[in-house]
Amino acid sequence: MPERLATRIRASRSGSVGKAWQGYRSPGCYDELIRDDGRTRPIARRLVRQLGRLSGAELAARQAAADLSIREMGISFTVYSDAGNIDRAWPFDLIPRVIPAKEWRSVAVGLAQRTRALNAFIHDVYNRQKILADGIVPAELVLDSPNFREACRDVQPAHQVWAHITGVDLVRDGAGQFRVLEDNLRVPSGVSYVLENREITKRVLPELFENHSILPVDDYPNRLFETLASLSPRRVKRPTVVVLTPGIYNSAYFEHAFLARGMGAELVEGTDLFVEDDQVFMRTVDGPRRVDVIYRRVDDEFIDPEAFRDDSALGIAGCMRAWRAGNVAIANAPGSGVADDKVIYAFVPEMIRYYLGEEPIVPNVETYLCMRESDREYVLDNIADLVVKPANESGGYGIMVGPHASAKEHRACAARIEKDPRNYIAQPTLALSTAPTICDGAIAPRHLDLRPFVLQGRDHWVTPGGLTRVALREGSLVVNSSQGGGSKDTWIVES
Amino acid sequence: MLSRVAERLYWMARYLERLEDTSRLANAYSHLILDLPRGVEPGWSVLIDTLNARERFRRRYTRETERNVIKFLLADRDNPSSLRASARAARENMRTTRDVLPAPAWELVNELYLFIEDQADASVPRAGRARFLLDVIGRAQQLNGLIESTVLRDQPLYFMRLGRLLERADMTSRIVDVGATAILKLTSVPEVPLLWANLLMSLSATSAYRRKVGPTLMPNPIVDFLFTSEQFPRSVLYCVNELEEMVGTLKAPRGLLVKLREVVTQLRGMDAEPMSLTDLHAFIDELQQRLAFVDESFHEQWFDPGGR
Repeated sequence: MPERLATRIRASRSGSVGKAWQGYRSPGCYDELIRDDGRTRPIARRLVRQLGRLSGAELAARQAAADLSIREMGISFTVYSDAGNIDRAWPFDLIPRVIPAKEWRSVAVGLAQRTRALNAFIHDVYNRQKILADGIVPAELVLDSPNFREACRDVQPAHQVWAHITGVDLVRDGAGQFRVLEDNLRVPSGVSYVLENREITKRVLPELFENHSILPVDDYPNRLFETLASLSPRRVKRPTVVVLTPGIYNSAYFEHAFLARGMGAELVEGTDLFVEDDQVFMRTVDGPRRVDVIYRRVDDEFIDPEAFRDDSALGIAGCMRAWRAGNVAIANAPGSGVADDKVIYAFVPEMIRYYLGEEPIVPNVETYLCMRESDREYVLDNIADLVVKPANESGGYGIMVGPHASAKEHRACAARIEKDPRNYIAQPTLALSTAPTICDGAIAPRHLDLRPFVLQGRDHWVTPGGLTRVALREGSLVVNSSQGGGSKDTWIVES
Repeated sequence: MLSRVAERLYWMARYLERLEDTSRLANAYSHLILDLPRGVEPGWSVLIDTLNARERFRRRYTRETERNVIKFLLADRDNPSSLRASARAARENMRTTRDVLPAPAWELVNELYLFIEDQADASVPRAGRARFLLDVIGRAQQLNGLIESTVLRDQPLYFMRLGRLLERADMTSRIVDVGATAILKLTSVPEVPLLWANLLMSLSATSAYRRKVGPTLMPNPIVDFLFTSEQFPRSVLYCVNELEEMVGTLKAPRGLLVKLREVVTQLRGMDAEPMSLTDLHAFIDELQQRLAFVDESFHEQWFDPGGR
């Protein structure tokens, strides 16, 4: 019972957290800061020692200061619910998660490798379709997918890159090995919180930074601008880059504004743009102005009512024509979602071998494809132990966690699989790693994942660390902020 | 710069100015009431008239008590001119334009909003009211100071200035209108000079008036000063002159400048002779109508240009 293992700070007799940390144990998972024997990992020793010097009351005061900063900085996200949309303060846990720089460098190389292979795949399926002809990936899996967009056939985007900004979900398995859980290639969000989390930690625990060399994260907006500018169809000194948002009611609006400001780019809504002679313009107080690059935070199907959903009020009519004509760059390119499918995911290691002739550096999580008969039988027989996911949902929606579900839910899930096997995959229930987290005044282990962001244009870049999301409910494996998850500052530390 | 963003910045600045001026008005008036003997108070409904909100007030309250009026002005969620509603509107407008403003501006407007949300109800009783209103004024000025001292001299700033100046000109004329009406109705009361002093105070104009006009508080020179001083930054003429300069900087077409010139001509033509209450009303009505035309032409020129 992890709850009993968690030592209450307030109850600690000496009042020192140092003591409190001694009773801390992860419930049989890999813990980011504390080893199985209760000793602190070498990379986290200074951190734990320094935090240990703070009394329970001090630590609580710092957490309160962090919460206040978050409110004052207006860091928020929107939760959609039946009762309407609620703007919530960003949940943040004070204790940073620490990763050794040496380990991280290898992960970063692995992520860049993966992104190159995925882009080669997207370019291939919209052009020559070699990988399908060679039978590495079953053709019907791609061509019948709702994410395969006819409108993208034969397009040649700059540098043959389609997915320019990706947010890869990583988890550690029981042995501490990082594995890729999901490639998010459409409009991944969360990067603004990486920068804001660091900002909060600096405000609230400035003394921690004196004794650590922590890789800075705030270069992201510059890197993003460089990446986007490298896609400009016009060779101009400073291309016009815009961030296209669905508007203030989108859950990631905070981030859209954050990134636009960070890049000095205009934050636009669909109605701010229009197309004439296959070129995109924005409406300004000085009249129309030509747009070179659209960083769109709107889903594919809403981007152009002429090409996709004609009921879309978020998009720009004619924008796909302008893109196909090569007069505007769109990031991520429409159609990138074809590789963002939990079934296609299972083939990524093969793609890396096929396109790059390399072995994957960061492995996948073991995945059963329900479309394969033998896999499906296994899944149906072991459904109570597995995590079943629909191929095309994000945000943690539609996931069935076997060990936490009832027999009735197991049966309902099995029925869904039999009805539409192509649309489901299953994975073993992962012993996600844990890290010490402040919960009701106590330090307790909570499960977490990590979402680094990878930029790919003319050059590539990986964020040092990424967004650590933490499941605040005891024992929960669901880290999504829309479902009660929190976050932590993530440190890549030179030892 | 995007037309939509220009419009939102313009309104953000208008709401910010409105909440500052409403706070000034409520504070000065509350202060005044303390000095008046029982029985001669001009009543709290004057404040509602300032904001042209009589009808809206009637829908919510039956009696024009101090409590009801102050609640309506400070904390009412349905009154679009209340501090609470203005702070909310300023924040929403900045929320959608925060990419063009320095990050601390958003923090300040957010703090201001949270502060008003949190304190408005508790500040209706006299005890905490002055503290609260002075705090709001201070925070609004801090935000304006931050904007003026850190924002690039460029279009976003100019559109915020347009909003602030137009709102200020409008609010000054409203405050004078209502203040003068209330006072002129009470000519026989010995406390009348207090009322005039109060009118100046609500616009932070007391010492400026004394330096420029003289120590004696006379109705006509006061009205004249608040409308046509070339040097006092809250006078209507000063605001309109500044508007003219901004509009020139933004390279607006002649038509817009002509509309502003008309306001200037009207102000300069103000009769130096004592005006009757009826004349003053008519004068201010005309002035406010002209200001509304100016606002309309901003929309036509920049915010919602047709045909594109």
